[in-house]
Amino acid sequence: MFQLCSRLRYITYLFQVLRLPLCTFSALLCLSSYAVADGFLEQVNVTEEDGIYHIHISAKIAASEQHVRQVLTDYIHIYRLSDSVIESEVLESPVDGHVQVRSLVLCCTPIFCRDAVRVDDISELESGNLQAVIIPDKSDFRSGTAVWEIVPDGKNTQLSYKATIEPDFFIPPLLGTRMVINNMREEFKTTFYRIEHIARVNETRQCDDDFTLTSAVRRAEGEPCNNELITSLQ
Amino acid sequence: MQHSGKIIIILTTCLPACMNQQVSYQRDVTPIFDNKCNGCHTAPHGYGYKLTGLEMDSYDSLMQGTIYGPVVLVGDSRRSILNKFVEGRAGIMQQSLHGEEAITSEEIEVLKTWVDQGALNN
Repeated sequence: MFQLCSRLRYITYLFQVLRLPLCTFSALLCLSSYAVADGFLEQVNVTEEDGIYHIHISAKIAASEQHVRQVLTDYIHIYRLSDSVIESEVLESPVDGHVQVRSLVLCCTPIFCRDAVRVDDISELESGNLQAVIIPDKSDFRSGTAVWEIVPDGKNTQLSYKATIEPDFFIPPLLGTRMVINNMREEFKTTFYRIEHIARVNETRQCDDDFTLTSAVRRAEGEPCNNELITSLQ
Repeated sequence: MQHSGKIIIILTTCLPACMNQQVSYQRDVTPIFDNKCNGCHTAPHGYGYKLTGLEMDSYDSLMQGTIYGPVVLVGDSRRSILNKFVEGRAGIMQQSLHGEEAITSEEIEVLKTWVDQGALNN
């Protein structure tokens, strides 16, 4: 019995020792839980310096600028962009023209999962870019700023995401930047893919009178139309 | 005694899952959808269907999801949009859209368990 208890204590200890670094690592993975196919990412750059992570992702999205913007500002449906956003809520901002979005993100390694809260204050800059600033008091992050640059490119859109983020927890250096980058790449691929997919769906269905699925599918390969955006759908 | 630790780990891993009874799609899940969802999520005129393309009157159509993507992530209720909605994790607006006939906590648990058990067509 003593051996069993000792073994249990050892296992418990092992879990405790492993849990913190793995959880913190997991949380890092959700720094940017927004999300594409491989060929369509033009740049994926993630670096770390003094505990601050710098992220730059860009892609050419096969949808119009206005529809890409519509997806990115559809804060109520932010969970569509990443399965890892397990809870989301749009909050009132004390600043006119700003929106606050609270999200709970589930971040997992193959072994452990961790929830991380982030509250972003989002505004549109004069340039038309979207800026999200993390509110540290309400988040599991010390600081963080992200800018979505949305530039029309004919019928397509050049989309760029630049962010810095500072987790409010220890990141074990031994886990390595490589693993973090790989996981973040996957998250961004998914998110960018979904941005494009949703934007394209909205492009086609804005022509529909009754927004039926069959009409949307039928129009998917057809000519794009120029009706007003159906924002009420959002 | 050498294997005691392993056995305990296996037991603690399996027990929570084993304690849940197997949920049946036909017996347990379909009635919830019939009573709370299919009023709107039925083609071709249901409001919910028109809005999202989501049909919930058959297993296949449910698993097909909306025009934006799947709503059931097999084995993972925390990430599944279906569960986010019924549990009120998708924001205020979503709740109000689906709030006319409030879903009960028991029904929420059935859907959660069903998805976690693999969202089987059983």
